[in-house]
Amino acid sequence: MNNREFNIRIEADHTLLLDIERFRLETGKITFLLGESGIGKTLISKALYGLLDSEPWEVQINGQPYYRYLKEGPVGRWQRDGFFVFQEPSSHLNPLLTIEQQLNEGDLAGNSYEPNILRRLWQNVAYKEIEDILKVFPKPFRPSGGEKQRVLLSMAFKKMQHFRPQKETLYIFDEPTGNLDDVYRNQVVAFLLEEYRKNPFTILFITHDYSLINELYRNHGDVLPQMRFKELQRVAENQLELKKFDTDGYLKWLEKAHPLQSGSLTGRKSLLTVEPQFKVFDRSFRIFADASHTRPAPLKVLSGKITYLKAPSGVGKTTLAKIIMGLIPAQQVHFELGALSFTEQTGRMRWQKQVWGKRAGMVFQHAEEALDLRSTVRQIFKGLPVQQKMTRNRVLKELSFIFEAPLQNTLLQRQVFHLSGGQKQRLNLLRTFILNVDLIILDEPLNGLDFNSIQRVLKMIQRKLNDGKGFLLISHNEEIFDRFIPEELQYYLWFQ
Amino acid sequence: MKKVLFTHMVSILLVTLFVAGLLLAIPRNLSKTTSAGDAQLNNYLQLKFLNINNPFQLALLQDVLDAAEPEGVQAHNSLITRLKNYETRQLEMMSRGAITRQELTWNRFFSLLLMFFRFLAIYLAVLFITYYAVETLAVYRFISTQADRPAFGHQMLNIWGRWLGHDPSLKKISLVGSFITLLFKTAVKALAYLVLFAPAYVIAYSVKSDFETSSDLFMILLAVFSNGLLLTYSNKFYTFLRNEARKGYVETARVKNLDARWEIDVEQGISHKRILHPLKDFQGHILQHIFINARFQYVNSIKEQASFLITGLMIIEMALNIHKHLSYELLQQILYRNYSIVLVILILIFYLVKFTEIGVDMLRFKWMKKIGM
Amino acid sequence: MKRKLGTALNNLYKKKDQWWLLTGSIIFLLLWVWDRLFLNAPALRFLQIGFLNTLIISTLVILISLILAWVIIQKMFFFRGRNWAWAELLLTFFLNLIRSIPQIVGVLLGYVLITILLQLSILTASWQTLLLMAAIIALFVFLELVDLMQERITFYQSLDFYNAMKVCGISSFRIINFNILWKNSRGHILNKLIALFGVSIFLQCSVDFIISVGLSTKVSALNLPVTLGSLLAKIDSKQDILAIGYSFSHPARLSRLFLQHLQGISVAFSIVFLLIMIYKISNGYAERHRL
Repeated sequence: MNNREFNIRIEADHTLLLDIERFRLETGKITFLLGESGIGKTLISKALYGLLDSEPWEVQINGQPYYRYLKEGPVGRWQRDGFFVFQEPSSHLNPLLTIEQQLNEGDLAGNSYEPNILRRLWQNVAYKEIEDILKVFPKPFRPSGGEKQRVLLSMAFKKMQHFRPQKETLYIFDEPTGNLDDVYRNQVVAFLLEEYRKNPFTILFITHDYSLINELYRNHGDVLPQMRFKELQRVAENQLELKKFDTDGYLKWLEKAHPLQSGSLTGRKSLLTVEPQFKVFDRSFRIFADASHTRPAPLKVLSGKITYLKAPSGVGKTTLAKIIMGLIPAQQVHFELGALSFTEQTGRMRWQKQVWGKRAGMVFQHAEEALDLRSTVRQIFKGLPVQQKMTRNRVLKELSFIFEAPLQNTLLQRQVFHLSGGQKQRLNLLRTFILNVDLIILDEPLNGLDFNSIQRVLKMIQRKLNDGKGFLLISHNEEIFDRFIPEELQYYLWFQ
Repeated sequence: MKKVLFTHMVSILLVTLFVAGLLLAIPRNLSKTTSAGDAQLNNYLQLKFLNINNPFQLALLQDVLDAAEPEGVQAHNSLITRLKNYETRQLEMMSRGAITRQELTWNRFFSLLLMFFRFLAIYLAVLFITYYAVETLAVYRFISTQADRPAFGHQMLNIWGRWLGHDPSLKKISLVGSFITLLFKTAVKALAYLVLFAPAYVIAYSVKSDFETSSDLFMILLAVFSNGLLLTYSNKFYTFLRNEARKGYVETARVKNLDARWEIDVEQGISHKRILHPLKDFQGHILQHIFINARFQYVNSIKEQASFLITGLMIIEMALNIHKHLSYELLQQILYRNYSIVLVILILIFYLVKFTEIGVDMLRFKWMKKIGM
Repeated sequence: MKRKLGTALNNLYKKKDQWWLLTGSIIFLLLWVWDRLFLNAPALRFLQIGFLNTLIISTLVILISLILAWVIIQKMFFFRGRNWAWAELLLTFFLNLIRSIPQIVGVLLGYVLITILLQLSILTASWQTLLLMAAIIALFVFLELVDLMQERITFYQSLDFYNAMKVCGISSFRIINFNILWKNSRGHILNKLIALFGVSIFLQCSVDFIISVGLSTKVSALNLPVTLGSLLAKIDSKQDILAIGYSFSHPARLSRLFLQHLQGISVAFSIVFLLIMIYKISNGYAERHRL
């Protein structure tokens, strides 16, 4: 069978980060590795591919020191024949070399598959535009996150087409579609599976995008027997286990989903009304009530209801949220927050005095950035404008709604830095949920969560809705939220 | 770029106006203070029978005053101290053969300008040499750490550990040999550190006791190899290299299988020739990715390096009393309280700092423009 | 037992800052023992006082710098929060004015002020002189700390970190002081303070040296507190240093260095080794905390 199993132990600065036994990688198969972000998927894959050979990492594989694994294990062959597509495309492209230079060095130099691959990954885009992208030095804002991700994928496909992979050859894709919308994601998956069908090789595909499962079941059923769905789970502190993921259970849950709130829309208090047209960064935007962008309508959030704002990534959903919260000044805007009226001329002090933590709050999408990682869990709740003091017991009680029981007392003293990505995201949500505000803006609230946590977060939202609070939701996770939010509360943003 | 240039220009303009204002104000204030201060002493200085250079006569004067006004002993003490200080200043000025008061004339201004250009030439030479040395030393150190070569101290502790370990397979004689070699290497390194970190005047006075005005080469060498300049900034460049080495794009370069051996003059490694070249290029090796980014990061530090260098050069010229050099002139004029000349020298140095900053910003913007930022 | 000691030393060596603090202190202790044995008593007394004064001034410098920088940062971000651009501009202009004077010149002018105050008998106690010397050095080095604090705050403000807390109603004062400066920057600040300690020693020794050789010897030598820099400028110390160079060309005379020329050698070594030690501690600290 040539299947490989690894016992992996990773430390940094003499601190154990993770320990997993029997991590199984089946040769010639596609392993989809699911699990909440920050649990250790990336570290494990980098350790296997031989990339953790510098400070501060100390790695043991199958009880052997890492240098021996690098010398004797399959890693030499994997590195020679395979490829690794990293997540966070922005940091994985060199800002001082053009995209073209980076697509033509090392193993990728001098092979001619590039144009076809680029055309395939940039469907519906003229090749001239793609050539323009090739001349660009990567910057934080250009090319976009999705384009950078496709550049990294192009490298993998280039190598794949030039050095025909064998069954043993390992390709690792670490969140390769995290920056792509569903259309591009599906194209990439289709391209990859097409290559796989030509001559099967070993693929480790890391993702926390559970909605991908539906796509695979729907359109790639023929390859399903070659696919393995696994989920990394924490069984003790730093102790991980690789479990089979119940794809059927997930699909059934999705099928049975009901809208988050009940009751009619009439007679509810208006918490937020945004006029359909606004302008920012010299660009005019419009809010529509339909997906085909024909009916401009004011965006409304009502008490006890959740409003869903949709748009392709990069269009400006987060920008609108920041305008509402007074973090970005607009050139033209008008909205009402309860009884307060705001325009582009409203002074910033007004938000500080009347809005932040009093009428409205916002949960930012990247918990890693939004939380102070150096603070302890307890300190996260200090300084919040809440009437009831955030005592130790109260914090513990609030945490019990979103963290697994039993809660350990030491959790309050733990640095946020040491929590997993999913735990951070839940803490990020809880900090705002604790506030006594009528309106909460949620920006990608399911980011980095595992299936279990997704269910918990949805329950949290339901609880707040029952208290009469309202939400404005921004998310690309349409497959899940379309089932939980009725169509009349869905809006579409577009720019002119 | 325009905004940054504008800020620099505003800053230059404001400081120039400020200094010009001071230039107009200072001579008047100064003359007032001086005359007020002198007036009290003048009565005694004009006594022809009193020689203030004679300690005996001063002691006698104090006794006489104390006897005449027993209640004013403290005031008499203060008067005698000021007479002594006056005498000290006079002696000092005489010993230097200098003229105490100088007006700021055009001739004086041009002579200051000439001194400034000399300072500028030395400064530029040292700046270029140190920049090259900083890059080169940092790259060598980076390659050494990437190759995981342990530091001397660590090697010594290891040898000691092995010695204590009583491993019968080890020949103690070979351990002693390694220990002596390491000790020698450590001593050389320690000596190099002592020299490179020594303030310039310590090195200078250990080499010679008087310094000629024509020894510009000596000054350049001193500025390069003292005050910790080289080590401080090569360490900074090295830190940038290390930080860049942890970035994601280096991982991407690795999986593309670029050369990645951290050894010198071997296949897939890096050659001495490439490291020593003034325009370093490590194409084909992942060091190229790391180096160009570290260099880009370092550009802003050139300002800091230049400012440190100016301080170092001024210390050298002042501490070594190098005549006809700008900073020595500054020191003298501070001593004689010729503040108009002091201000002119200060503003010239300020312009030098500002133009360096503008130069560095232009270089940075040129690079940023190239990459489309 | 021996093995444990070896492991402990190995572990300590990995923490370069602590290693250098320990070995540096031991080396200074050895120097003191050597001087106690072979240096004449008055010179030793001067050396001890000079060494202590240098350390006291530098400690005061970092304390004053920290206070100054913190106050400036509070004001700057208060003005920014209120959108008082004119106040911020004025503050920045004054800071840039200080920045435009080379540190060495600023400190030198400050020392001239001290000598004037001494002449006018305004400064009477030596602690006053020490404090003023420290305040003057701090005035010309504290901007590095302001820049660091500003850079840290601006960096965190550019992340969601700052806005995410602000929209939860947490006060800017708490975010800046507790979350950014204390929780996320204290390592950087401490490292900068260590570096400033070194800069302060360097400037202090240089200016003391320049003043002692350049300005009125009677005024400075009699009235300014003894420091390593002023000790180095003494003519016998200079001759001792000259002997170092001479010993290189006449190795037979090398042994005399450590007995007959002990004063100058000890002073010069103290200055240089202090600078190396602080550089190593600062780097070790930065490396250990990945700053």
